[in-house]
Amino acid sequence: MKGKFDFSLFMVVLLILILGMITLSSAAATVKGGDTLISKQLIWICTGLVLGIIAYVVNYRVWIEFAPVLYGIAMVLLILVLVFGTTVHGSRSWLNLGPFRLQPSEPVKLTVLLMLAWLYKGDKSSHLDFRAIFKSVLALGIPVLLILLQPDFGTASTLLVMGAGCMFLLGLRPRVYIILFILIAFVGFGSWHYMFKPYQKERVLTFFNPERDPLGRGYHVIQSKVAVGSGQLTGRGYRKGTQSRLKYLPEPHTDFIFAVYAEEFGFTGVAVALMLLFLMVSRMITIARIAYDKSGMLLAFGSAVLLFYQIAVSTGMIVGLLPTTGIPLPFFSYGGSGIISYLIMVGLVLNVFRNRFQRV
Amino acid sequence: MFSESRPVFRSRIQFFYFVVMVVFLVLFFRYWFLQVVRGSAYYRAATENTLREITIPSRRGRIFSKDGRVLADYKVAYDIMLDRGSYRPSRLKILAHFLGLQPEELQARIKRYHRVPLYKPVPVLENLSFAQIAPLEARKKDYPEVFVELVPQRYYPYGKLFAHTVGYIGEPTVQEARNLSTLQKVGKMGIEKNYDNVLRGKDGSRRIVVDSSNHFIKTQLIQEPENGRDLTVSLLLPLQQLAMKSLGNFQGAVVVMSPRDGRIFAMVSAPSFDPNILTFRFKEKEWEKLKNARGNPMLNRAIQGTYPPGSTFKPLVALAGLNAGLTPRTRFVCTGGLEVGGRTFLCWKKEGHGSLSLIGAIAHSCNVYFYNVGLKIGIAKLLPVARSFGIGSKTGIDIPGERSGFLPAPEWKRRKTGRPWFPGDTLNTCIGQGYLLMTPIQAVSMTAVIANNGTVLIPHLINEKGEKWVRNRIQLPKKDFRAVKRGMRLMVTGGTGVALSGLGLTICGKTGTAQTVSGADRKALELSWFIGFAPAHNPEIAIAVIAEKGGHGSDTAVPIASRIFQYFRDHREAFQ
Repeated sequence: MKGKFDFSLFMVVLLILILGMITLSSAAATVKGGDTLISKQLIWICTGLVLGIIAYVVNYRVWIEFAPVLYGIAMVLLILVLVFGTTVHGSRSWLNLGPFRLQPSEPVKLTVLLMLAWLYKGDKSSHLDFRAIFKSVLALGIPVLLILLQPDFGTASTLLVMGAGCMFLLGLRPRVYIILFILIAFVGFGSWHYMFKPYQKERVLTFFNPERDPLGRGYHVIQSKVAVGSGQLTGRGYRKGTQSRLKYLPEPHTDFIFAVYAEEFGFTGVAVALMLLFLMVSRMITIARIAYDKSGMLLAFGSAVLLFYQIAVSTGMIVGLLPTTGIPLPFFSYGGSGIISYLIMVGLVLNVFRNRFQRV
Repeated sequence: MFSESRPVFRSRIQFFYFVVMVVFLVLFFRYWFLQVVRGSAYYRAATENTLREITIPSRRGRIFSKDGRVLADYKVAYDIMLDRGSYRPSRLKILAHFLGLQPEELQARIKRYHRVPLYKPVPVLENLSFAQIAPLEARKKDYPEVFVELVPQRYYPYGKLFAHTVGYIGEPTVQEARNLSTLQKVGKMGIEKNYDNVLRGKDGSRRIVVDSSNHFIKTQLIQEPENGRDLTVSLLLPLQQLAMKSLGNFQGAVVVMSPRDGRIFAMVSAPSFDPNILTFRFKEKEWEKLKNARGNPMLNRAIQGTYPPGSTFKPLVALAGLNAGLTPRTRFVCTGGLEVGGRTFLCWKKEGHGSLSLIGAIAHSCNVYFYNVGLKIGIAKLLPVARSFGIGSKTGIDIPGERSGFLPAPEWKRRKTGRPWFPGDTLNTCIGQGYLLMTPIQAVSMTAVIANNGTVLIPHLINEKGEKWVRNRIQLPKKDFRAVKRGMRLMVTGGTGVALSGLGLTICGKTGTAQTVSGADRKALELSWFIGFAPAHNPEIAIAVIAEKGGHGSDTAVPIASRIFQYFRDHREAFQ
């Protein structure tokens, strides 16, 4: 507990990154322009490492001071993407910035977390009052709404879960839980009938019964289960997975990347990867526990919730445990905006660890 | 440290830690279940996913006639194959329209292959010409689930002429498909069926690896097709054509066989059908039409038609008589009829033949003489001889579907009707009437036995000779056969078959006119029979002719036989 640098979290993340790159190099081969994806991803990782080091070096409390500004910029980007964004797979989620494309919803996760930390940095109570709840609902609600407009169901749910996790940590009174429950039921019912697009409804329905439409929506789940299962104990070998190689998996380099990994490295590989991912999350939880102040705790905890949620959903969906949503697996899935955000997040959590004794 | 000093935060963090642990455990076990417990099943599923088995059709062996004509050939045709792996039921209507089928029809065609593994494409349209597939090829990008396959399509150049003998091929039944594990067409009739495993090659297969949108990735495994072996049958095309033409509009059959080795030189059954339409997979309508067609063209009368043999049975009765103590010089007087048990059994010649020897009785086909033979020897002496000739049992010809005819016996009658066997039954049997039924192939086989002095041969269409086609040898003295042959020779030179006398051949023969009732309307039907062989010494051909509603044997059957004998006279070398 004396070291300044949390070597274990760093090593775990590094190992996950390596596994992720290996898998991506296999998965990308089946995607159009796959060879450039790998070099691009390497550039993003390097950029992310540099930004992560910067995030690590400057005290996290300084970053939190900048939170409102960063948050403002992020919201502007979210509005810009709705106006000028590029549509991929039916979602207007990307901003074309010349040589590269930015997906603002990824850094938004980070800025929302910083914003929440900023909102409650001085808060002394162990439960949130209604004012505080209102503030955080507002801070969360704006980006969630903007992202739903793209529409990007997966990222919106990530943000909501992260925010909910943070609010759970900050403390909610029983009556708030009851109100929230009623509200969620109401909103859920309302959105099912008025807001959900038919394809989203289909997704939820096929989750409960993939055989409902074995050649349509359920097809992806069935094929990814076949991919995972066919890996058996030892896997089919690097770049030898037929399910991914022969394009039975949709989005093998992003949402379904863990199916590629599971197919090629088998249960042995899956056990190793799940262990590393678990170690990463649990280490972040530990850092939350030993953080010096509330904002540090919130940063580490929020990061843990966010990464945990994305891991659980993206690994759970390909084996039919959860409905198919477009949620990438951190450090595995292709995507510059994501990998940079996650690396900055790791830098910040390490920062929280480094400053666990110190005042400003 | 913040949470250390505030236990409520610490417990919240710990609660979350607990959730994380549970979720990871669930994930761990879920992957364990899928990959370790169910892994091999999914592995198989993945393999099926990626493989398409493309059949490389083998060439079925051709069938040649003895004179070297191709009776069963193949020609290039195109099938439209459906890859059910990439077919979506929602595309049914679009696809049906594209292929020019009713949606229900296409659905039915797909459904009939539900036992075939999904990775094997199945045919939905077949036997298309190049002109028909050209528009399909042009638009194939819009219909990725179907493709054109080039297949050798069975083709019978002579159509109905060899339908019953060469037969035809068709889609295997469920049972056949399971036994052979193939989608290949199999022989359904005739030579095609009996020699199916010789003719049918083994299809090769090219296993190609495809991706989910069915794009070709690579060929994985090639099994070369093995082509089937060609066969030559002993049928002679011109003789076959002649026999068919001679039968004309009569329903009936003509069989020409070698009394030396059992080979069949001609076998015709009329009416016939075009086997080419039956080789198609999707032929239900044609089937219905053929099944209900007049005269039942699918019936091979030569081996499946059972008729009372009439007078053609008399030579055999004569042999039985000789065997039981009669001599060729044994005489009986015919007065036009014979009274037995209070009933008068008539001769066909009302005024009577007078006194006849056995030879004269055969030549003039006198019923009364053979009634007397029957009375003298009794049914018990007749039956063993008839059985040794193969009457009442299948000849064993090498095409399927043969019927055994019927040889009545006293025990059978008692069991069947509860009444005893009367002398009248023996009398009827002796003139080839009553319960006795024979197929034309049995008739020609019987003729061959007389011609070759007692060797029962297995008639066969395959062009082979040898001991394997000898069924048994009848232990009767040669002089008895000679006596019967003298009678049959006399029939031609001065009896009921004089029309055959001027051909420059020493023909022996026996006419027959049998009465029968036809199935549905129970109308009396006259069958015109002829059996015979030539030359008298060391015979080379035996023939049997039957024409339903043909009147007397000499009216219809003899002229037909005459043309066959003439052909034999002019082309003897073809029968070697």
